[in-house]
Amino acid sequence: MSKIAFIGDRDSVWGFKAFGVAALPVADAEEARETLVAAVKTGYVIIFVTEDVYEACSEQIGEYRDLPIPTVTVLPNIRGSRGLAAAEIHQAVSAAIGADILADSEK
Amino acid sequence: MRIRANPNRMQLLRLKRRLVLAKRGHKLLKDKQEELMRRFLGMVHQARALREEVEAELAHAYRAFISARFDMDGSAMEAALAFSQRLVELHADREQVMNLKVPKFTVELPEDAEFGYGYLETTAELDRALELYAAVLPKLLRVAETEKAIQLIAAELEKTRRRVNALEHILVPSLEETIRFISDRLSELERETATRLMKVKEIVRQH
Repeated sequence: MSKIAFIGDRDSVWGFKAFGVAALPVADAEEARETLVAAVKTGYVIIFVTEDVYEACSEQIGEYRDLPIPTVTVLPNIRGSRGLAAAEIHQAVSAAIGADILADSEK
Repeated sequence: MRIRANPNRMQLLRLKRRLVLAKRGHKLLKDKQEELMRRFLGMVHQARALREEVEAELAHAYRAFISARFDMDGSAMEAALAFSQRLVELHADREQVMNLKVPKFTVELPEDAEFGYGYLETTAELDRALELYAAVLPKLLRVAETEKAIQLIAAELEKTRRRVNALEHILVPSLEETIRFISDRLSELERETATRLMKVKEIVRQH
């Protein structure tokens, strides 16, 4: 079994199927949550989620953040990136340092 | 803030020992924090560059995939993807960073393997799209690995920072204050005894 899963809208995850990874298409937020929990239970090591799924399941993903497994990583979907991943890095930095030192360097 | 302790030599010794220990712990934690921070900042810069690169490449791949999808029948596409032989193999490992174990992924992608679907039902666009996907996939894993490491180190850094601050601003000052209090108290007692003895001597001499 593959250790990698992609969760997201059908068009975004479909192509990855060619590489033998699990592509789990979801249609709405509710389905996304269920699929994510099921995927973690199944034992996928890396779960890539689209930004929509990430937003729908942010609570759930927050729980996995400090665990070594699974690794949940956010990807842009097929319609483009909204920069959620960059925001995620910012958040980690400000939590670690106590100030957002990246904020200035971007302006 | 003073710790509640009886002002006697026993307690004084005990507190002094605790102070030494607290200071040593503080120094160690501070060193740990610095090292974690050094690695963390390096990783953050790396992750941001990687993220930008991957998102650009992924957008490219997505576009190619969409155009392939328009040209092809849904079921043919499904079949082609299912028949593909280029299966990735993921090796998940752990790498030690200080006391943390961060994931380390390596991926095996058969470079020369054919996609394995027929040429008749599929288009050249699909080939091209999947080629792009194949190129971006190892990078996706690098992104996953780096960002996970960042999250884990960030959590550890926060914990360490709290501990360092607790030692530096609360435990060490209160220990020092208590030690000062006890030694003041002890020398006060000593002076008291001395004066009392002098007084007693005086009374004894008068008789």
